[in-house]
Amino acid sequence: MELTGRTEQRDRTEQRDRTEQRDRTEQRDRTEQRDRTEQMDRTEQMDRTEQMDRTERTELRESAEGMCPARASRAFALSDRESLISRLESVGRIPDFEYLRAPQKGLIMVRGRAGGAGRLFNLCEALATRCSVRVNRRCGHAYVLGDDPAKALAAALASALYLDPDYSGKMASVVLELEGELDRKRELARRKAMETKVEFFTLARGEDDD
Amino acid sequence: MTTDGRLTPGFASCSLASQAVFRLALAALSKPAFPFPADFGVLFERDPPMPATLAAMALTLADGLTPVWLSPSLRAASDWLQFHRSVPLARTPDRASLVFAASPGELPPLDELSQGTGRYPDRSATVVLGGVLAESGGGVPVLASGPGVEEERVFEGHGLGRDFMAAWARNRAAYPLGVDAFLAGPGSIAGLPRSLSLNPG
Repeated sequence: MELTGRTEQRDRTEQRDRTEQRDRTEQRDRTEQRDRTEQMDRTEQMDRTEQMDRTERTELRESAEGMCPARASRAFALSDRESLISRLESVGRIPDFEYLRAPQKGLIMVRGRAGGAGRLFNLCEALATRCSVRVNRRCGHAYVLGDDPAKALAAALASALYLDPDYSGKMASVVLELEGELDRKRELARRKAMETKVEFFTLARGEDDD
Repeated sequence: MTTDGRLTPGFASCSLASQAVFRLALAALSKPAFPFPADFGVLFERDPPMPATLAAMALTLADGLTPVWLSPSLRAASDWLQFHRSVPLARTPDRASLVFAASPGELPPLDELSQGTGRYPDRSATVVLGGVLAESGGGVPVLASGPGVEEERVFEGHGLGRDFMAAWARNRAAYPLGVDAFLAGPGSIAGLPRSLSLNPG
């Protein structure tokens, strides 16, 4: 999902969090999983972009079989800890797993571009937790924002199971549910922001002098 | 990478283990040519994809800013090392700041490695050499002398051949440039700082 092109056309401001490439390897996993802050923009352009976003995703959804792992990782990483864990448990018994990297906390550099198109700058550092596990000979990796080892583990497990043919069907529907939840939250936040939308316009003055 | 089911874990206890190994590496450099017992196997829950002593040194010394060169028989561990330490892999030994060789036979010529510059002699490569210091290491006994060695130390059973001795003599002659080395055999490590002279005993 490349946003830059659209951003330029529509001249809207959106702040994007991009996790710094702590290392090359994970960078690959993450390039497509750019976290975007849920910051709401009050312009109509934003509405249109959002709609597009959603249409695109619906199309992806129809071909759920070909869903890319990065998309699943994104859904796991952005979801609430509780809903992620409860959905993961609903999939069935979690097989024994082995840590490749037990949950560890660290700072990642958040970088951004003004207007989505300007020069890359370092915005701030953010606390993140990462974790990697192996389940049934498949590796799952997760990076989540904040100090949250339980969620990092759950997200890593979910990513690994997602790659496991025995679970991938169930996990794909988990991803769709989580995405639906994320969409609803986003929509709610957008509506809340729209309630306080103010239209500025120039009052006509002096023209009607009769 | 994401789907690679063959990755194995790193240190069982990441920070404690790397601190312990680093401390031993410092001790080894400050008491040159003295084999320190180093049972690094216990630091891993699962066997790492390269000899435990080399693996422990790699996890401790390497990070995203140190280009690493692995000798041919260690290449199987490159994914593992990249996953755990996000190291850039150097295509040729001369571009590496850490050079890992499984045995003296796989060691590239020392003078082809990064030697540092007159202004920054510390930018030279560090060599970590495995397959030495074994119980029956053999090789000619040598007299080690230089800073950190009181008078002379007889260094035996290190498994280094004459080729290495000659290469090391040239390395010593290039001081203050030149590489530093660790001998990382099974169960022990010894430091060979570039200031050390090795002479047939």
